[in-house]
Amino acid sequence: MNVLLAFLNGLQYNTPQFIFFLIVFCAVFFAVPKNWMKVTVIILGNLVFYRYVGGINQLALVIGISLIVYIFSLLLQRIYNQAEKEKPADLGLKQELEFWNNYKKKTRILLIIGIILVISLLIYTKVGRLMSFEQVAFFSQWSFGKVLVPLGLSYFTFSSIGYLIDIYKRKTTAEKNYALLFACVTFFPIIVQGPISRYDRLMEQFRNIPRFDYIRFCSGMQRMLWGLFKKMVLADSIMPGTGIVFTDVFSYSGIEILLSLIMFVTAFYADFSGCMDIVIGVAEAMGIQLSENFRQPLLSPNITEFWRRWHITLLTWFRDYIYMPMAKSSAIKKLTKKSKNALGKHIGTTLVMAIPVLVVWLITALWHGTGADYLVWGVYWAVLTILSMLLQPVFDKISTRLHIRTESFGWRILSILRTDFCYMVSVMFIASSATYGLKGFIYLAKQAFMVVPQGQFLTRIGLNYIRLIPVCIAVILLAIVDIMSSRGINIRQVIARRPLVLRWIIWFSLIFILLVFGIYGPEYSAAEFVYRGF
Amino acid sequence: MEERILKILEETNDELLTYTGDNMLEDGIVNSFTFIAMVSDLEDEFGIEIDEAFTDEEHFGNKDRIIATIKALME
Repeated sequence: MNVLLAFLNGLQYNTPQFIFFLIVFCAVFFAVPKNWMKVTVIILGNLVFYRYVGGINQLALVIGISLIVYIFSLLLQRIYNQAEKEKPADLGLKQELEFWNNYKKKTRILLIIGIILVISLLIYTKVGRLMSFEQVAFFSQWSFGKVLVPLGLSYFTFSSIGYLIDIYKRKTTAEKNYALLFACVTFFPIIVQGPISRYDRLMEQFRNIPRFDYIRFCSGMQRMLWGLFKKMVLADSIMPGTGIVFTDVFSYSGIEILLSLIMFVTAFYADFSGCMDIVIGVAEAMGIQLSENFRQPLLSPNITEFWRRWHITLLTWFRDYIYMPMAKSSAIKKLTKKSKNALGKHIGTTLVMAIPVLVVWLITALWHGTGADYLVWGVYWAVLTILSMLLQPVFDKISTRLHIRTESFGWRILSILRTDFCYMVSVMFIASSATYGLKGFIYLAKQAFMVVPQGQFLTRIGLNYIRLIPVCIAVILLAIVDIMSSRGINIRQVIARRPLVLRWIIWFSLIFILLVFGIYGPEYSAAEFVYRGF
Repeated sequence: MEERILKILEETNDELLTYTGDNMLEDGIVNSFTFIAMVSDLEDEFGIEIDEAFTDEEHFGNKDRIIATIKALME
């Protein structure tokens, strides 16, 4: 027993421990017949997972937050239930708005208190990081010498706040069964790094968990395998090398830095989207559908599209709960009217909309990191978004004048490269500033476009030509799968239609490549996913 | 009145006239910039104030819902 517990200590999505955990979990999960039993198995699985990935002392905080969410959701719901009884029949649209607004005055204060309680821990840990852990440790005796950051804090904080706001806006109703809510808050596939999930939709699925389905189970496992491949063969092979470059940028130049940037973006994407494939695949095998977090973002034709396809659930959360309420607020609408009259419709509207755009990008940046580099990163994206909107008519005119066929293949490729270039520049802010501040960024920006190799690049970043072969194969495979997916082709379904022998050859080849070229082993500690820790 | 609404929708994006989904923002038919400009145009055209609560997908998700919402607000 002790050996088993010690073994579980290294639990992470990309470890043999997780495969073991999943086998035991699935065996029990599919064996129990009743829905409430399946929910109980999920909760037990969540607790075991949280114990070994996060820590037992963090669990109290998660239970605390879920209880706050539960209590405040019921308090909000109680007021609305009472209102529903008192609501006169046949109210017009305006009268109905007034009726509910009267009740919202009562619920607003509860919502605010609930949100403050839920978010305080997140802010506390973010401030703790800014001030360095030791200084804040004084205030947190229960954190054993450092600020305690519960596993998945950001993710369940966002989901919890979204849930409370949705109840406040009467878009959903509060769940009376605490076990269901707790199962969602701690759901092990989403707890490490999302996708940020809408609890009402997840609970709806938990209420009616489907029976075991062989095809769905295989499809989920195949997606998980693909995620492991992206993470272990591609991301973990090249991520450490790019780290070496960005912590010593002045020793590298020209094409080496450019290569490192391309490698970093590829590895970062493979890491994060690979993790999403693993967790969405695991949930799919169980019969639970999670939200997609990536839709081939590196193939986006413009930056607006890019951010609709990259870390979708986070950006959607910011859009739904911060950006759109601001943009639709009466203050912004009044400003828009004035600005429209003074500057014309297009410029007037765009300039006013710059306010919520800037606010939401600054908050997104603060969430990623509290350093000046992230502030620059946020401003960079806000300015790019506003400029691209502002100059859209100019771009349209230029392409008409120059007879550019914007639908042509060549133009689409150019647009994709332009978008990826913008993303790469934003990566440079963070990559260089982490160690060298502005000086590092200027050096990178200057050097990135000069072809002056320093030599021995591969050796210096811990790669060789033999290790490059599986990396290149993985990049090509990733590109093919992404291009097919962006055209609406589901590659797993395409493979599923092939003869049995061919199907097994394909999936076993993937397992073989994973076992031979994947980064793991006794001397290697499974690399953490990059978005863990937020 | 319908024609005046449809004219504003057409100016925003003519795809709105043929769009059959129920969430124009989610489906990328309009973006937040053009959406706010459209709401502002509708307010100016009909001299009404459209509360934030009515600009969700339930009331502003597609052409038909917008027409129904504006009509209800004008009553």
